[in-house]
Amino acid sequence: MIARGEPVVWLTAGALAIALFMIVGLIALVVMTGGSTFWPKRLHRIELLDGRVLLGELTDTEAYEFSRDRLDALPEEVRGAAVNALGDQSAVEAHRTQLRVDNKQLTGESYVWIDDFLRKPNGTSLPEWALTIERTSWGRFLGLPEAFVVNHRRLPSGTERQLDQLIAFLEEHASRADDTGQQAIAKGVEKLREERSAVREKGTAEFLQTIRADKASAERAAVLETGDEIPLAQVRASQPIVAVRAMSPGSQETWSRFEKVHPEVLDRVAAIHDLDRSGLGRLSEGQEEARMDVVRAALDSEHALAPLAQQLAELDAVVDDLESAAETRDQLAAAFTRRFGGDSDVVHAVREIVAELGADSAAQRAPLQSEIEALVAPLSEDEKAAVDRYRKVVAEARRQTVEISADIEALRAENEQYVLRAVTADGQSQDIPVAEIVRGFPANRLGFAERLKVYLSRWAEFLLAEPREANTEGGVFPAIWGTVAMTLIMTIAVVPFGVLAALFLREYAKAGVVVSAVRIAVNNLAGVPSIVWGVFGLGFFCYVVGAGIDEAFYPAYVSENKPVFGTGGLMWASLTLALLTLPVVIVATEEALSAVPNSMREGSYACGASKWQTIRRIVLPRALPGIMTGMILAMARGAGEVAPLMLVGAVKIAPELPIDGDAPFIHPSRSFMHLGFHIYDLGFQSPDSEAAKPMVFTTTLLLISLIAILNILAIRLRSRLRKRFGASQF
Amino acid sequence: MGFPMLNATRNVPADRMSSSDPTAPPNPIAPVSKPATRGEIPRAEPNRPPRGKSSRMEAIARGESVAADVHNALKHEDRVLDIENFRLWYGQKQALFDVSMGVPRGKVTAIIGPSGCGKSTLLRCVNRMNDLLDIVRIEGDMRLNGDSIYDRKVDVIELRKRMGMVFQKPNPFPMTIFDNVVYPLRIDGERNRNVLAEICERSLRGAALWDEVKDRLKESALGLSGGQQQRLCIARAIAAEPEVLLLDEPCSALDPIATGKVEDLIQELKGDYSVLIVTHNMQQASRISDYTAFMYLGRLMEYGPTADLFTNPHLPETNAYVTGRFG
Ligand SMILES: Nc1ncnc2c1ncn2[C@@H]1O[C@H](COP(=O)(O)OP(=O)(O)OP(=O)(O)O)[C@@H](O)[C@H]1O
Ligand SMILES: [Mg+2]
Repeated sequence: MIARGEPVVWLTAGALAIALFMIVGLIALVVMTGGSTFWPKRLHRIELLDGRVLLGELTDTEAYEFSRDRLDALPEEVRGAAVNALGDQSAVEAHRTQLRVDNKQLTGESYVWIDDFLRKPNGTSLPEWALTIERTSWGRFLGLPEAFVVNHRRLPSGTERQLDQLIAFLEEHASRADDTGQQAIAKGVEKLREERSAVREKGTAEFLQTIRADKASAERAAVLETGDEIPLAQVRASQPIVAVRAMSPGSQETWSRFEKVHPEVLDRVAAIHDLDRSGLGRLSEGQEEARMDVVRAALDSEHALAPLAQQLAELDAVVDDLESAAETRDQLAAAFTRRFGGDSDVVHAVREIVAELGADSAAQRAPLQSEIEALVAPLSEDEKAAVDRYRKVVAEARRQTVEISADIEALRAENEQYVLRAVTADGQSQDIPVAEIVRGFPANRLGFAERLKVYLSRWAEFLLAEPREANTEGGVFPAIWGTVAMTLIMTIAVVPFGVLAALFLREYAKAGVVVSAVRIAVNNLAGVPSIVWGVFGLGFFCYVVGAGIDEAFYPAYVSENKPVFGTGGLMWASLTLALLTLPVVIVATEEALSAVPNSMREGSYACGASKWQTIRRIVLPRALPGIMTGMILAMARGAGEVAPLMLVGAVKIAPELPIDGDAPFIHPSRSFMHLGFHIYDLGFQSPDSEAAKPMVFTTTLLLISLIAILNILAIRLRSRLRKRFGASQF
Repeated sequence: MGFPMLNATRNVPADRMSSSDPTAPPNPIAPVSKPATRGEIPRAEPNRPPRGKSSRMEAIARGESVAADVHNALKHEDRVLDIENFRLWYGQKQALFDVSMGVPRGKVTAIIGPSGCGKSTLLRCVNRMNDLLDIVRIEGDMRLNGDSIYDRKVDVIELRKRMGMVFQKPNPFPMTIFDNVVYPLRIDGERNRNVLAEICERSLRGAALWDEVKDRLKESALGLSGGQQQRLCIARAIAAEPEVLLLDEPCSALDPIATGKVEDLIQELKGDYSVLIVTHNMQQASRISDYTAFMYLGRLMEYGPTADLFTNPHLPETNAYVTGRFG
C-alpha cells in the first residue's frame, strides 16, 4: 500500500487498531476477572518450612526481586532456605504465590503471599474434604470437617411448665403469708416438687427413648441443667437432662449430615427474615405512620403532642403489664384450686396473697390512670383522636411484637440445634452454626457439573439477593433495581424535554446569532463536569424544589426534621441525570431533524398542513430513529454516571426498593442503590479492598451488561421503527 | 413572514373577469386596473412588426421590462388564476419581472423556458410556497377566482388546500401508501375510514397507480419505484380535489413508460382540474397542453395556444427556443 502511496491507510488503520485493542482489552479484563470470580476453585494445603500450614485458593503468582538485605526480616527457621536460594548473589529472581486463605476472624487476613522457596518440598496437597463455607457473617471459612453436632433439646411438657410456675409463685410470695400460711405453703411446695420430679422423670425417659431409637452412629452425651455433659449410656432418667448432644465425627458423615439438614435450616432462616421484614418491619412502619399523624395534628396545636403521645403510650404499657399480671395471678389461683381443692390451707394462703397483690397493683394503677386522664384532658377532639389512634397502634404493636418474637425465637432455637464443627489447616477447631452457612461445598471433591452448579448458584445469589457484610458479599439486586429504575425515569424525563427543545431550535426559531449562541451553549453543557450537575441537583432540586414540596405537602415531616423530597432520592437523581444528558438528546435530535429532507416538509405544506401538523406527522416520525439514537446515547451515559448520584440520592445500603409492591409502587423520594456507586463503594470504601476486588470486577461486568441490555432493547426498538417507515437511508 | 403587498386592497368585480362579457377590455389577460405608477402593459398586437431580436435582448439585459406577447385566443378563456404584474426577489436578486398572465379554467397550461428562468419560482408563488423562504420579497398580486392570494387576510393553509402541487422530485412521506394518499384529508380532520378508503382508491385510480399498489396499501411508500412514487404524489395532490393542479416537471425523473402514464393522466384530469405544468420537454408540452407560456430570464415572453406557439410563434426568441436553437 505504501507503494501505492497510501501511508494514510496505515495511519488510520493503526489508530483503529489501538482503539480496538484498548476497548477489547478492557472488556476482556472485566469479563475474565468478573466472570471467574464465582468459579469455585480448589483448596490447596501448603506446608511451609517455618511450620505453618495454610489452606486456601491459589489466586495469583508473580516474580519479584529478592535481595540479601531482606534476609533479616525473615524468621529464624527459614533463613537457611532463603540463603540457599540466594547462593552467592546479592539478589535473585524469586517467585511467590498468593493464597486466598479467608478465616479472617482467626488470622486477621484473607490473602497471604508465600515465597516459593519457603514451601516445604512435597508439602502441597489437595485435601479431599477441604470445605469452602460461605457464612452470613465473618466472611468465608476454609477448613476440614470434624464433626456434625446436633443438640437435641428436651422440651418440658405443659404440666411440667405449669408446675414450675406454681412453685416459683409460691417461693416468691411465701413471705407475704402469715405463719400458718407459710407452713401450708412450705408443704404445698414440697408436694409440687415431688409431682414435678415424677413428671420430669417420665418426660426424660420418653425423650431418651426416642434418642436411643435413632441408631445412627454418633457419639452422644447428655447435657445437664448445670451444663455438665455425661455419656448417654450413663444417664439415669432421674437426672435433669436439658438436651442430648449427638456428635457425628468423620468427614464423610459430617458432610452428609450437613447436606441433609442445610436446606431446611435455610428455609427457617428465610422464614425468620420474612417475619422480621413483613412482621416487625410493618409494625414499626405502622407506628411511625400513626406518630406522623400525631405530629401532623400537633402542627396547629399549642400542645407538644408527639412527646405527649409517647408518654401516654409508655404509661399505657405499664398499665397493660399490671393488668396482664393480675390475669396471670387469677389463672394461677385457679390452678391451685384445681390441684389442692377449694378449702385447703395452701389455697387460702394463695387467695390472701393474690388479694394483697391485687390491692397493690390497683394502688399502683390508680395514680397512673389519673395521670393519663390529666394528660389527655386539655386536648381537643381531633388531637385526642390522633393521640388515641397512636396509643392503640402502639399497644397493638406491643402485643403482636411479643407473638412474632416468640415465633422467631422458636425458629431460631430449632436452627441453633445444628452446628458444623470444622478445623482449620493449622488445627483450630471452630463451631459454625448451620444457620449462618449460606453455601458450603467440599471444593476438591466437586466434578465439573457440580462446580458449574455452585458457579450458577453464586451468580443467582449475586443477581437476586440483597447484599450482606457491608456489601462485600451477597447480591446486588437492590442496586440493579435502582440503576434500572433511575435510568428509565431519566429517559422518560430527558427525551420529551430534549426533543421539544431541539424542535424549537430547529423548526421554530429563526436562524440567527441568538440561536447559534444557544446551540453552542447547549453543546458546551455536555462538557460540564458531572459532579457540578450533582451539586446543582442537590442545591436546586433537593434544597429548593424538594424543600418547597415538603413545605407545602409534608409540613409534619419538616417539623420533625425528616425531609421527604428535601433530600436526595430517586426522583432528583433521575432529573439531575436528565439535565446531564440533555445536551446529548438535543444535539442528536437536531441532527435528526435537519436530516429530514426539506422536500418532505414542502410536500406537507403544499397539502395544506400547518407547521405543527407537518412536524408531528412528517418530521418527527422521520426523525424518530435519530432521536432514538440520542436516547440510547443518553441512557448509556446516564446509567454509567456515578459522581452526581452520590450527592442526590444514591446510597450504600437502601433499606427499601424505590419501586416495589407497596402502593403507590413508585416512591420517588426514596434513596436507592446504584451499581456504579456500589463499585465505588466496594473498591474504595470497604475495609478489605483486596477481598472486595473480585466483586468490583463482577459488579462492573454486571453494570456493563445491564447498559448493553438496555441499549440492545432500544436499538431493536429503533430498527423496528425504521422498518416501519421502510427507509434504509438513515 | 410578511411580504409587501402592493395590491392587497385592489378588488376587481368578478363580472369584469368573465371573458363572456362583451365590454371586457381588449386585453383580458392583463390586469384590468392598476396603480398609476405602473407602466401600461402593452397589448399584444399580432400585426405589429416584430422588434429586432437584438434590441429586445438588449433591453432585457439592461433589466427593463419587456411586454409579453399574449395571443388573442386567450382573451376568450375563462380564467381560474390571474397573475398580475408579479415581481419577485431572492434577497437582492430579482427573479421575476412584471409577469402578468391568466391561466384558463379547465385547461392544461404549460410553462417552458430555459433553466433558471423562473418557472419553478412562478409556480411556487401560486400556492405561496415561497412564504417558507425568509429571503423572498414580492410585489404584485395573484388572484384565484378573483380573490387575492397575497391579501393579508388570506389563510395560507386554506389556500394551499385548494391547490395540489407535485414537485420535480417525488417526495412521498415516510408512512404507508394509504396514509400518503389520504394525508391531505387526515390533516383536515377526516377520520372516517370508509371515506378515506374510498378517496384513496379514487385518487390512486386517478393517478393510474391503483392496480400496482392495491395489495400493498399498508406498506411503506418509500418502497415504491421512482415513477410509482411520483404517481403517488399526484394521487396525493388530487386527493383533496383541488381547483388547480401545479406540476413542476413531474416527469423529469421518470422513464418513458411512466411519463406516458402521467401524460395520459394529465389529459384525463383536464376539464375537472385546471393544470399548470412546468416542463422542459417540448414534445410533452405540445402533446398535453392547450396553452403554452414561454419565459426567459424572469420575464414572460410569449403566451398563446400551444399549436400556435410551436408552429407559428410571434417572437423570434420563442421560435429559436422551441426549435432548439438556444436555451
Ligand atoms: N431559494 C433560492 N434562493 C436564491 N435564489 C434562488 C432560489 N431559488 C431559485 N433561485 C434563483 O431564481 C432563479 C429562478 O430559479 P427557478 O428555480 O425558478 O428556475 P427554473 O426555471 O425552475 O429552472 P429549472 O428549469 O432549472 O428548474 C434562478 O436564477 C435561481 O438561481
Ligand atoms: Mg425548476
